[in-house]
Amino acid sequence: MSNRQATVQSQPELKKTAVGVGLRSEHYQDVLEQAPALDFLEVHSENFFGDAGIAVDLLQEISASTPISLHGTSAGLGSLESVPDDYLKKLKRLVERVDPVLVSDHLCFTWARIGGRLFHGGDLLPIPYTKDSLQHAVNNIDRVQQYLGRQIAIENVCAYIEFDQSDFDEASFLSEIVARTQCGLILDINNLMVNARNGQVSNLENFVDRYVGSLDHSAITEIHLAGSTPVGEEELLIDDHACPVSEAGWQTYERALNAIGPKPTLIEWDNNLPSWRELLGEATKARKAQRRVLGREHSHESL
Amino acid sequence: MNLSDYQAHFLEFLFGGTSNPVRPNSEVYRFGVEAKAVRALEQGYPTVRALVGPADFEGLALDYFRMIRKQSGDWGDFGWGFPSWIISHRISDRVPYLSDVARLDNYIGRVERSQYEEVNVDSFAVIGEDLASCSLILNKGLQFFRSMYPVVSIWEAHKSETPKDTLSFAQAKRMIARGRGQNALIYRAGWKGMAELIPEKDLLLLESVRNQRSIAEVFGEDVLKDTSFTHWLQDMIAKGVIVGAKAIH
Repeated sequence: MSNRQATVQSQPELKKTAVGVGLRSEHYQDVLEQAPALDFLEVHSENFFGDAGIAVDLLQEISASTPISLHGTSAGLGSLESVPDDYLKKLKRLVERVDPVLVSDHLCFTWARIGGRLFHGGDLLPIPYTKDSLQHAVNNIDRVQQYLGRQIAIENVCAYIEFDQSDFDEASFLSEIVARTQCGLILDINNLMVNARNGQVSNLENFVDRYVGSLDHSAITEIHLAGSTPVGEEELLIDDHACPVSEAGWQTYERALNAIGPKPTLIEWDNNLPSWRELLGEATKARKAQRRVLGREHSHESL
Repeated sequence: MNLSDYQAHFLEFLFGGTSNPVRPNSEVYRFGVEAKAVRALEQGYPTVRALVGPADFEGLALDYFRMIRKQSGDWGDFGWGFPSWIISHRISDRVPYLSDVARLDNYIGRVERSQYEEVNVDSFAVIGEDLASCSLILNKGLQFFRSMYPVVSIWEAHKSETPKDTLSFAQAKRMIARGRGQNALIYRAGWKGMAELIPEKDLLLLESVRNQRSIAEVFGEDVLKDTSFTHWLQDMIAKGVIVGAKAIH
C-alpha cells in the first residue's frame, strides 16, 4: 500500500550541496565550543533514546542552530517481525525533540523471534532480495512512516554473506521499495564499494554505473561517504568507518555525483575517531569534489 | 530455509545458541555484535570493569550476552539485568560484592538518563502549622539502597587510575574485613551521576518520604524547631533529592 499522502509532509530541507559529518560523543565539546561550519550533523538515533540526560540536552541545544539528520541503526526494517511499538515511541519522541531534516535507517533485519520471544540482533543483518523480503520491508517502512507522519530514507548495507536465491538485484530491490512506499534512499558509496570488492567485482566503475543508473535519482536524499581499513587480498573488507575516505572512494563519489547531480553528503567516521579538525577536513574534501564535478555555481546552490 | 527460519537462526547463531553459521562469513557479524555488547557493558559498568580487570570483564560480558541476549533496539538499555544476573555467576564466589557494585553503576547510569525533576521552591510554602497534612516530595529520578558491602567506598576508589592508593580503597578493605556495609544515595549533580554514603537514619527518612508519609509522621511534630532538620532539608534540596512539598489528606 502506498502511503505517500499519509506521510509526505512539509519538512525542513537541506540544500542539495549540503555537507555534514557524523557527530559522536567524543566531539561534543568541540561542537559546543565552536559552532561548526557545516550544513548539518548526523547522529545515531538510538544514542538519544534516553528520557533525558547530557546527550539529549546537548542534541536539543545543537539542533537549535544546526540541522540534524537522524540515522538509525536498529529499526531492522527488513525484519519479518514488525518494528516494535516501544522502539517507534522513542524514535517519535526524538523526532519531535530535534525536528530533523532527515530520518533514516538501513535495509537490513535485526528483530526475530526465538522460542516465541522477540530479540534484537544488534547489527545490520543482511536480507535476501526476494519477494517475501520485499513485502516485509515495505510493511515495516510503511508502518514507520505512518507512525512518524513523515518520510524516512533507507540505506544500502554491506552484506558479508551471500544468498542462494534472489528475485532482485540490490538496486532493483531498493527501487521497488521506493516505488511502493515513497521512502527516500541513502546511497552509501562505501557500502557499495565494500560489497563490490568482497563480491570480487572486476570493474568497479561499471558496477557503480549500473547500480546508480538503476536507482530513482529523485529519491536519493543523502550520500554517505566513509573509509574502511584496508585488508589483505584474501581477507574480507569490513565497513568499519575507521579511517578517511579512500582515493577510490572520492573517485566513486564524483562518479555518482556526475550521474545523479548534487545531493546532501555525509562523512561518517565511527571508530578510531580523528580530531574534530581532521573530520572537518574530510567535509572540505567533499565540498571540493562537488565543485570539481558540479562547478562553482552549483556548489553554492540553495534550494 | 524460509525467511522466518533464516532470521531466527541467524540471531540464534549471534547469541551463541548454535555453532552452525547460517551462511559462510556469518562469524563477522558475531564478532561485531559481541564487541558491541562488551563495549555497552563497559560503558554501563565502569566500576565492575575496573574491579575485575578488562579480560575477566570481557568474559563476564560475553557470558551475559549469550545467556540474556539483546531484547531492545537501544544498546543503552542492554545490561539492565546485569547486577542481579551476576549473583548467580561463578565470579560472585570470588567477588561477592560485585553484584552490589554493579547495582550502583547501573543506578548512576539510570540517574544520568532519567528525567530528573527540578526543585519547586514555591511548593515548600505548603509547610505550615499542621505538619500532619503535608509531605515532602522525593525526586523520582534518584536512587538509594542498602548494601552489605562498602559499595560507595569501592565506587569512589575505582574512579581513580590507581584505586589502591586511595583512602576509599583502604576504608573499603577495612569494612569488608569487618563485614560492614554502606547505604548509598545516587543523585545527579548537573548531568553527572553521583553516589554518596548516607547514614541508616537518612535512608529510613527517605524511604518514609518516598512512601508519602506526612512530615509529622516522619520527622515529628516539633521538627521545624530542630536546626538539624533544616540543615538536612537544605542539603537534600541542594542535591535535588527533595524537590518540593505538597498537601496530603
